[in-house]
Amino acid sequence: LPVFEDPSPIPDSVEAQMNSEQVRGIKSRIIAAIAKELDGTVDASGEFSKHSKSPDYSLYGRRSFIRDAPKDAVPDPE
Amino acid sequence: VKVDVDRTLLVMPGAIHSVILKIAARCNLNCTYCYVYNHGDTSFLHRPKFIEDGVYERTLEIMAEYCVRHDPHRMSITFHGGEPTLIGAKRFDKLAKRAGDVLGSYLGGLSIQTNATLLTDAWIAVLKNNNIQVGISLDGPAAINDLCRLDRRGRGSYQSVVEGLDRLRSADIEPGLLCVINPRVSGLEIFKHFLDLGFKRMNFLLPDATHDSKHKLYGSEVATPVADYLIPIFDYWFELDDPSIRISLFRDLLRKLMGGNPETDAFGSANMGYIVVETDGSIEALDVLRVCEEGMGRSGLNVLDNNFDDLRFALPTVNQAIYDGFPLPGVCEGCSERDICGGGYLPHRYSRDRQFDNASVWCADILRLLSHIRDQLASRIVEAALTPPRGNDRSGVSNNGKKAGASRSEGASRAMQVSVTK
Repeated sequence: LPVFEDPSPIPDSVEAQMNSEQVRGIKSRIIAAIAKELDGTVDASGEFSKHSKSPDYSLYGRRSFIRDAPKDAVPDPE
Repeated sequence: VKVDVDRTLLVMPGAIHSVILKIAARCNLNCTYCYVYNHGDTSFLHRPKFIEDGVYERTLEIMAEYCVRHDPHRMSITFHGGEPTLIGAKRFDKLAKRAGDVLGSYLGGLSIQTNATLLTDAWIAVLKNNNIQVGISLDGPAAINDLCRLDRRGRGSYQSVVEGLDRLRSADIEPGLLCVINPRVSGLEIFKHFLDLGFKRMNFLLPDATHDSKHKLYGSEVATPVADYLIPIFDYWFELDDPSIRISLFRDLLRKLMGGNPETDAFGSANMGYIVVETDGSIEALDVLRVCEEGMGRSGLNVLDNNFDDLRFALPTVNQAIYDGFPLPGVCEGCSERDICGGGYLPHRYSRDRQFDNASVWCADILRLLSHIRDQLASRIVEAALTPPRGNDRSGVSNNGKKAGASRSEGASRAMQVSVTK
């Protein structure tokens, strides 16, 4: 739709997010901010483990977003 | 507002969250790519130039009724056109105040999408006083913007937009920005210009085309012109790594890749969550569908005679768009990106022969962009997994980033101890 919509509030403090347990390890403030919005946990495997704010979670389920990464370069989640 | 509620009729409670209200059916600009005026649809000619008071009042009433029936529920209004500021600041002020009076706590918010060329001081005061969120349209620096965004005399609009932007900012109104991708120019140059202008929130819209019109409008000499435009922007933005600079298109893709939901309807076939009300009160699903065929988005309903729950019984195309979402195109079933792309933006799937059972006209571009974004995401995750905790040396990590002599689980464990660099 040709409307500029910006439904998610801009975080008050990026630094606060950077201290979040949910996003540590990921050296991208953009990824960290989106992870925080999604209320999910990004771990080193690239998986999200929680989607409490996602009403359509059942449609998407848990999945990797690094599907195409070389398997030997991606550690297994602990 | 008092409403008798029969919840058995509410097949999809509260599915509509936003009304795109066309308060003006005309525009002072004549952008070459405009889906309203320059894609063959002529329905605007038969509609009132401006929304009628009765239509507006009835729209607010059925919004309130809808919110009561689906309580707890809130709805927002985006004032749209044509060019909505043609209606005049004084009348707009009344419209905005009336929305608050009728909807009260059911009102989720008010916004306006404008070309910003007519923003006088009177307009700025009205926008400020009514707490209106503002989205403006600009396609880049003057030399690029003025290729397509022209007034009725063929003059560029860039200078007027920048003057409007200055007025908004003088009142501490920071607008969002919409930019229609011009596949023939440099996206990165445009993005840098937007940063120079101080924009923080923006979106890039894929050009509107169907399978019947794309070749005529955009040719086929370049395989992935939209990806060529977007990828350098993504790389620059991702490297800049400033979350306060928000590009909706990329954020949507990242959100979906990370398992969440998008915030716009640019990708995917989920239900839309909004409806369009025209100046004569007619209800449409998505006004951009008019690039497909004349009347494609029509519901056959009008706010003067119907309420929003009647949409469940509207024409199949509209019903499906609002409530169910369109099924994935058959050709996309075997695609590895089908969950992310969802077939792309609905109007871009259309052809006269197969209706919406096509991949997006920008399919190759989307696939290339997605592949690129996946690579960038993966590299950050791998980087995090292989980076030792602060204070440790990097022994065991080779120059090419691959860890030697340790199990993969050790790598993951180590990554979780690393704080993100500020």
